[in-house]
Amino acid sequence: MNPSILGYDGRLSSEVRVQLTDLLAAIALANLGKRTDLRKLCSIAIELLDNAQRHCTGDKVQFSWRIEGDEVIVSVQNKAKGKDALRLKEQVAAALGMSTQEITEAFKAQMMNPEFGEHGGAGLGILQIIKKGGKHYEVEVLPTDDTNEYICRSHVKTSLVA
Amino acid sequence: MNMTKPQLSIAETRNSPAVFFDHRIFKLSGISTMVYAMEFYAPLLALFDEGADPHSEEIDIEIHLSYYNSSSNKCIYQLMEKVKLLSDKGVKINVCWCVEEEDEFMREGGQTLEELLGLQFSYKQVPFNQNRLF
Repeated sequence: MNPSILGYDGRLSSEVRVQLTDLLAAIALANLGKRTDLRKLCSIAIELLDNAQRHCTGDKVQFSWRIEGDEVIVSVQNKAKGKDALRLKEQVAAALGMSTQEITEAFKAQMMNPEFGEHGGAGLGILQIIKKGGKHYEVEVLPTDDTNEYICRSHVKTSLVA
Repeated sequence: MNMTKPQLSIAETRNSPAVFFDHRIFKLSGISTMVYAMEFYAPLLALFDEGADPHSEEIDIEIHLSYYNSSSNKCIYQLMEKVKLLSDKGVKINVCWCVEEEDEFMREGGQTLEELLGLQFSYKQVPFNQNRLF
């Protein structure tokens, strides 16, 4: 039995995100106890939800956060415009190809870049996820019946072992 | 310093921080997880341009956030850039960055800002809030 699953399937608004964040905090504290990296672990889920809310074109987002053995696994699925979906896949692939030092430098460079994306993103979310331990970050982009819309599935696994 | 008439005071919400600003004191506290963070921070950035007293000898800044998302992170950086400009003009800047006991996330966040901006923060350890992770 998995004692620590948070799952959500529905519309994603700022209010829902607040509620999910509260639930996530409660589950993380109850199952992992007080750890120095607790917020760091939860930040992966929050950044994935931010991205989903920012780019979602459909009316539903599927989200799950679970602990399996010594890993936290976060999954988010949403529909997005083709260019946003493909850019997500490309950016994750590029970031995963970077060394730890390169990720840190890219993060700093992006923070100093005053521009925000057309959807209001800072361009830091993917780098933050990988920087905070999400080295196993997979993105699937699947076509839908609508040629301009894709399904984006993101899965991030993070080790709980320091 | 006029504490009775703050230039700006914003109450905390469940995803946005409380703000207090009165020319010589700036405080940011709570949580900052807005998806469109710049909508919240843009007026603060403008206020720093217009409202910070350039003749002040000293400005105290206290950041006591339990968590901020990456979009807020960039906004906080831009806010600190304004602070750095004042520092470069000779204003003494005291940045107090509050960190809950051994909270890696907030400590790393402060250290990155220090490094990028060339400002020196003082770190204040505050108790871990068991009832409020975010």
